[in-house]
Amino acid sequence: MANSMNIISSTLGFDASTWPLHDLVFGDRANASYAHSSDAAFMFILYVSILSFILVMGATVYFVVKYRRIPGKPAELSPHHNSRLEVTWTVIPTIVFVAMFIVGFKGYTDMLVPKQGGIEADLIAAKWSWTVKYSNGMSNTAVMPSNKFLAQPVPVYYMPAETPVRLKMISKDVMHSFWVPDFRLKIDVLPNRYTKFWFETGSIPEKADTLEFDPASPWAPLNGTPYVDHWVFCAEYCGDLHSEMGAIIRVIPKDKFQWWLANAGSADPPDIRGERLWQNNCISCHSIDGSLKTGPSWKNIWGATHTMTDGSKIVVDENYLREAILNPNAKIVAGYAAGQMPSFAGVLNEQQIADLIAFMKSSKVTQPAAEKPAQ
Amino acid sequence: MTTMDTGHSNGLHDHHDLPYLARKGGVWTTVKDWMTTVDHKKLGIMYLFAILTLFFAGGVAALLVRAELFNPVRLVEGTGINGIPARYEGQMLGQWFGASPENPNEGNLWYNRAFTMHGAIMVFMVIVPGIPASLGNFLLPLMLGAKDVAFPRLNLLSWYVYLTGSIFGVLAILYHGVDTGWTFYTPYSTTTDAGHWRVVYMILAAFILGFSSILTGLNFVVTVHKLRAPGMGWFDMPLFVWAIYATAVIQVLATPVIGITLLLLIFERVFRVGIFDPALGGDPVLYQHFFWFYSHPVVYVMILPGMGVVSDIIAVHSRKPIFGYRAIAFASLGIAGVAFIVWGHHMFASMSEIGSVVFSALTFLVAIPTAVKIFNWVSTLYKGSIALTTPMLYALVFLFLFAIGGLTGLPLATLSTDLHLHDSYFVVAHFHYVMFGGTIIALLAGLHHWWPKMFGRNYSEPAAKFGVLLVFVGFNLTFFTQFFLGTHGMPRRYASYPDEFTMLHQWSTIGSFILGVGFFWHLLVFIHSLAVGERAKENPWGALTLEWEADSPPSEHNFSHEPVLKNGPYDFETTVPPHWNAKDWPLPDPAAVAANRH
Repeated sequence: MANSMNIISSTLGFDASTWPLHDLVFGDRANASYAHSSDAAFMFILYVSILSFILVMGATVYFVVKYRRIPGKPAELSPHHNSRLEVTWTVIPTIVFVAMFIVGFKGYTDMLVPKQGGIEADLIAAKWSWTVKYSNGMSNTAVMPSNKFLAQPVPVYYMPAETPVRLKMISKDVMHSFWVPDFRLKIDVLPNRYTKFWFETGSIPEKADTLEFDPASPWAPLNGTPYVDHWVFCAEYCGDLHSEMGAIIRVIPKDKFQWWLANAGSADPPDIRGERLWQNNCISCHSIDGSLKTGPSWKNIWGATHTMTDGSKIVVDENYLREAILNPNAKIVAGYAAGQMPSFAGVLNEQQIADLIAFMKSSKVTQPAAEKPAQ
Repeated sequence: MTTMDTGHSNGLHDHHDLPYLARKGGVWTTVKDWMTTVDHKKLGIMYLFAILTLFFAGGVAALLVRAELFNPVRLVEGTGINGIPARYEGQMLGQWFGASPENPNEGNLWYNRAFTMHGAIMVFMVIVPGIPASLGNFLLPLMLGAKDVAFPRLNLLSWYVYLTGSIFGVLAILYHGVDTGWTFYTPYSTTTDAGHWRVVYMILAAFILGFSSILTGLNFVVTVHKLRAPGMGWFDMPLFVWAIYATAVIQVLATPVIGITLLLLIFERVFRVGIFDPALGGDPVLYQHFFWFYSHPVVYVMILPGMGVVSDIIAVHSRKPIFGYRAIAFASLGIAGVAFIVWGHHMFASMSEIGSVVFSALTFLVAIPTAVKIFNWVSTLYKGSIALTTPMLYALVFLFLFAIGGLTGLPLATLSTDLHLHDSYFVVAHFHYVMFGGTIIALLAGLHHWWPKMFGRNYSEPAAKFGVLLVFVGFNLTFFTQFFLGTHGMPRRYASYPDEFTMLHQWSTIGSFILGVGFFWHLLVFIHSLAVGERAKENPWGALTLEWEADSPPSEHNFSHEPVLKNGPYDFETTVPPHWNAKDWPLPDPAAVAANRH
């Protein structure tokens, strides 16, 4: 399957940025690995549409002029239908539509199946702001001081160039939608389950602007760094300041990004915070060394397959863990009793749940597969 | 020959021969007559009046929206955060409605109310009842050769249910309106504006209006099945009737789903029953499935009658049978059927991946009969005798605008491009091209085509044509720019925007005001016609369907004798139209006609 996707990928993954009319339609700021093939799909549809429109409207105008009414002269006779013609103009559009569907499907898989490597981050949406938390716990951002965006200042999130980035997204209240037009992707952000968004940034163009901070500010080491900014908009109506809910993704070279990640703000990494939360909230019923307590042990829990009391099997992933913390009686592991674990809704917030999950993924709790002792 | 000459020497004595618009007595008697009438023509006229009034109300809301978007909102003083006072500029609606310039929330709130009310009024109170309730009610029995619809009293009930629902909508407006978007997505719609009843009024309005839709649909289905004139088989009906029939089937089957959904929405909001709100254990995507299961078929309720109008107008004004009559009839039914299985294409950004793939594929299916209809309409013009009357001009404008609307649906059906274009101005432009450039333009075409029949008056043709020009230019300037706004990244339902979108927004706003002037111009032309227009003939266009045999305007019971069908709806090459002299309608050689048919 992977091989055939690669073949399709190389034949259909055209770079549309140089095609006629592309920049008129999209501008020239696309910056994600799948953006150009999404644009190629659009340009293909656009060219077909322009051709069809010219044919249909051309025929209309021609007929209206050539067959205008002449008083006293009845209309000439002509067939009332023509099976061959009608079948032809049914079959040809069908074939074209099938092609459009296939091209769209291929681009869709590119947009949803993330590349590994690179960095991961959590995104939290709320009325009316975005918060990105990087893997080292940092979420500090530069607030863009100009009013070029909207009526309020806009956070800037730094991202590395030429790197896959994977976001895990959740909303604290209503539905939002995370849209980066230059990446050509949006995914809705829901309050009841995580959704995922990934992109791989391109390289920074040679004529890019460079950062200029006050030499006395802590950001000064970044001066002279080339960068590209991309708007982030909320694309699902969410109330009063829906149109103010913006952000900027600022792509900088990988080495500068590492500096920024390490220095632009500090906090304990998520798995350390999660360990503290475990000690304060969960240790009484859940061990991490395999010993049996009121609840299942977390030893090697991440990615494991558990059997539930109703016989079904589930794989332990982020959504299962989040549900277990907020609605523990929804699924009970076989061998354990229902009604024992309280819900932590209102006790643990989304950030704390994510920290606990990070702890469960960490090597203190889950050994990498190669090192697991024989069962 | 006067419109009241039915062959009786003292025609005024028998009230069955009076035009349906004639007064029966003093003011109070006339008012009572109209309030209790079961005459489909009077009901159609009342619907028309209500729909046009609400269309202007929704249009005013649209102009408020576009006026606000002429300039983006900007902070001009202070920093606006951490409690430091700030002042904002560019929030016109906020200023007009008394919002504080220090509080951007209030200003945007008025904008959010304006776009919500625009959508809710237009969808629920104008376009869905639209052509079926006005032209459909008036013309369906006439086209079938019947005295009235199958259930005239039910028809009157439909009208009062429509009025009741609309009153709840007006109530919501009077209470400053609702800001949920016409789509009422949860959990925003079930949690916002807590403690106020206006959201419930708006939801109730849509719920009640749904019943009007169901009852009218039921009435029309039975009418088409049971009340056709002797000799009229299914394939002898005008294509407008096929369109109304397909529409009525969708109305009856789909509307109950939105009814239940809106009821559940009210239960969640008022009684905090958890169905859609995750805080109560519900799921917001479930709401989207329920909502779009109706709201996608309803867009075909909106467009199918318009397509029916265009079919009849193109045939009549080019004096040609519609090319591929059966293809258009079956395509109408096909569109109605496939309409029910594509709703997920509104949800590619929130639905499961497998679901999205399936819905994308099915959505392309519905594009096929739609394309076929366009080809059939254009082919009808071939070797026709085409007159560029106002109805024909609007039918051609329909072809132009609906083609653009339909073609721009293709990147929205395509998965990869939709994830960029969803919830952007591209979608806004697309649906305005099909709903406004499709349905409303078709309504205008139909109004100008059947106006002489409905009111017995002509309108000024040159003045009406000037209206066509204003509407065409204004429409394209308003909405074509919005395709580019969308592809460049402008989200929808935004009160403000980054600097780079300003120019396109300003062009779009200018276009919208030209459009407004165009509609106002048409209103004046119609008022002028009713006041001092010359009396119309029975069959000014030379059409062959049964409504043109009746008087202009028709008498109360439509026909003095039950018509017997003697010709097909588009047999222009063999039949002299009713009320025409044979010398004004030269027919081709019958032998050539017979040869052409084989």
